[in-house]
Amino acid sequence: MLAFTLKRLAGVVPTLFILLTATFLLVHLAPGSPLDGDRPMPAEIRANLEAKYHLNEPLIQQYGRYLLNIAQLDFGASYQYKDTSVNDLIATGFPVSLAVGGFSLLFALVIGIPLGIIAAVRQNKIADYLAMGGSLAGISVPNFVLGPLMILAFAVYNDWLPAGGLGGWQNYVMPVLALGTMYLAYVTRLMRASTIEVLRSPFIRTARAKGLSEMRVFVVHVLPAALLPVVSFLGPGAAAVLTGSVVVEQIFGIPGLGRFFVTAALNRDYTLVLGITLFYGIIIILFNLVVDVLYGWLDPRVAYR
Amino acid sequence: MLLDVNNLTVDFTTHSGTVAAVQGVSFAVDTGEAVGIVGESGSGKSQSVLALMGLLPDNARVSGSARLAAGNEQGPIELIGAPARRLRSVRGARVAMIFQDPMTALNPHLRIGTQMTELLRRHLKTSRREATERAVAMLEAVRIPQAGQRLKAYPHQLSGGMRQRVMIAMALSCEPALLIADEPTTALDVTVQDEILETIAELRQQTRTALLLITHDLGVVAGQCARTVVMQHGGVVEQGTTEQIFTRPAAAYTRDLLAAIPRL
Amino acid sequence: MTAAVWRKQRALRAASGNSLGRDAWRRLAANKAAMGSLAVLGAITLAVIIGPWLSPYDYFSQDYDAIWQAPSLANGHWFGTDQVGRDLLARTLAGGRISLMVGIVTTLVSLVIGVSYGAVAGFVGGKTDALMMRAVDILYSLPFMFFVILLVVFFGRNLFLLFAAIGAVSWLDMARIVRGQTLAIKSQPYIEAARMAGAGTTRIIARHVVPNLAGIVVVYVTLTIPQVILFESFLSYLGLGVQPPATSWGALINDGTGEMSIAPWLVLIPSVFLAVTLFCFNFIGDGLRDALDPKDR
Repeated sequence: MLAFTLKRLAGVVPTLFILLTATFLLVHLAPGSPLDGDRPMPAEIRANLEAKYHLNEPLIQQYGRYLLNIAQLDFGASYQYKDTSVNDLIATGFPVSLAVGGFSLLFALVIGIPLGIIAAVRQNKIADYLAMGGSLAGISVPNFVLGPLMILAFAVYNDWLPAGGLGGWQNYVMPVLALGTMYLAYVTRLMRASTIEVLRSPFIRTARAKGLSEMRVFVVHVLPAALLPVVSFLGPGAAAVLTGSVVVEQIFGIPGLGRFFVTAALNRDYTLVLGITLFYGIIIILFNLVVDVLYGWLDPRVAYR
Repeated sequence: MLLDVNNLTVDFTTHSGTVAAVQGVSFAVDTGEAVGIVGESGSGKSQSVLALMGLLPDNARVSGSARLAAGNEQGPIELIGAPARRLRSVRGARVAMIFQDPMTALNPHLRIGTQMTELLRRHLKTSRREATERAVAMLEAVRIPQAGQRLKAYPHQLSGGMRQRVMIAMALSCEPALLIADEPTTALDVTVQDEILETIAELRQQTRTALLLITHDLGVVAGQCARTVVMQHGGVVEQGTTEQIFTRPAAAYTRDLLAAIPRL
Repeated sequence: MTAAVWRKQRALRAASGNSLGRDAWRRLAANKAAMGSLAVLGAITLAVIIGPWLSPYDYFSQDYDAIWQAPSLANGHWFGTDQVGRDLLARTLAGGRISLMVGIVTTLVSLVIGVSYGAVAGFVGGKTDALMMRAVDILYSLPFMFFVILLVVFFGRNLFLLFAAIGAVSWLDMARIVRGQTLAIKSQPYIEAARMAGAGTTRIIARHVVPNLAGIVVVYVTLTIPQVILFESFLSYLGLGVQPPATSWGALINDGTGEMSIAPWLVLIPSVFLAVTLFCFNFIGDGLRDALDPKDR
């Protein structure tokens, strides 16, 4: 088990390296310099600025500096907000995005797992058709459609929930629903499919042949095996939730990291866009590592290999 | 009579209509007796025994009668249509089963020990420690070396033959009156097949457990069973003592099966 | 659009040519939800292709005498107009052209990359396979949507980059699936038989591997198209996708969100078109999968 964890940990290194190198090369392959504004800049000021951002050094030296800074978790200064470091912006924005994303994922799991199980157990009955039709609809309605529609229904036509901003828990209801619905649909479908597959496997017949109660058969034999695909979905799921939070924060005016990201992208704030991409990249890679190790722990066959 | 099956019928409702898998099968097993059910795949032999145990999927409709001696003062239990609770107290305790593929019949996510003790604790109501001791004793009885340590192993860490031994040890651990073995050697190497059959025979002698052996291979039946039932297309073609079936087969189908046995 | 699906469907039938292909087709035809989706999708596609020629309005002309007109048959603006008086019907159809085109072209890009990559990895096997799949794993764990945005930010916003960027990241699933399927096919006895009969690798891939991949590839194509349409809408919604005066459903929804409280139809109508299209694709994809692999239902 320890060897397995260490092996996975070592596997992260090339991924991180590729992430860092790819982003670095992208920045330097990009046409134009971030210093190119609407008006031409006096040569002297330009030289000063280039020196300040080390743009005048050879590429390999810049790469070394870049790696060194990231190793120290220092993403540099924002081009746009002159006095604010990217680190500060991440420190302000990420907790907010984490709360919205975390609750959304939790919402998807807490509702989706039981729903998928019910659909599987009642396969080809009314409950199954309702759950499957509903989840197919859920997958087909993007968060940037669901969000505005919810604002119309719950904030404009009725004054039930605040349309945006951050305050009490009421502010989280619509963003979490808008972001979580699609993953709820995914989790439901995944859970249904895997439960049906496990229920068909011979070892479940063995468990029944042993005279165990249906409860024990389900909790001890079916559930752990059926949950495995959902566990492996957590990695890409978390990445997708972080991505989705970019839109949802935009719709509901939530001051999270995703909103900074879009503003930075629209304003071509190179360092901020790069910093957030790197930060999310590292977060997602580390999260995948945790999920991998968790999976290996849950499925004895994986670690054994 | 330990088990008396009368006019057993199994139908499956599918998208394309009703499929009759078993059509009026009758046979009986006496206490401690070994009976073989022989037939090609699709002859309804597996469906028949799964029907007895109430293990068929929801789209199966079972009718007929199957009476199992209760093993106490009470009269025989009717298995067909019995309440789920009743069936569960029979399964694993009075009637145990082992299946074709030990690779998939054991739960890959649970340790051998967990799978063995949950059965013992369910039916014998023993403590965790007694269950573990019994499990070790059973593993030793099927000649698994280092039985104590094997309890901590997962199924994928054992060989195919070893897994089937674990299945046998588990099935017999509650001292059932009847062991149903559904193609127990088909998925195994030829060299291991005989060992498994020997192990079953040996343990049966000690415990006087009756055996219902389902196979497509008349050769397997010859060495194990006193009586044989031959099935084809969901019905019984003929039944009798194994000697009778081998020396004076009545049905043409039985003669075909006999002709198919390789001779050395 | 639908034509593509139909063509693939026929290709699949022709490729397998046996009762399995015909069975799958019959099962799909019996699936009312999937056939209904196919009809709706066909109608939307047809409208998007020929609609702009028939419409009296174009999608970019402003008309300050007719701003914020609610949808009505009487004034000729069936879907209403926006804040500068552009006809929403014309804009929805024009946007649909872009959304569907991005969906199909990009899926084709990912199809070509994914199938060749997966088939090579699966067929060659061994160390090459391990290395190639490791690369896919690495790409898989990168936050690709952020990467696409990064690309768009650095290299400017244009449609071609959008095709390339989304296509470059959406082939991963296809590569994995195709590789798995190829591995499974490779170990089939009839491949061994073909090899013994002296068939070369190219011939084996063309005659045996590719036809057997057709089914799973068709399913994944129908499931990738809605995904790609969704990506494009997502980027356009953020203002990072197609640029004015061109538009797409995502861009229309973005425009409409700003005017939501005054003119809700501006967000409702493109939303319905986008959601219904995605829904139909997903239904067809599900239907195809069930038809090819009936054990699940």
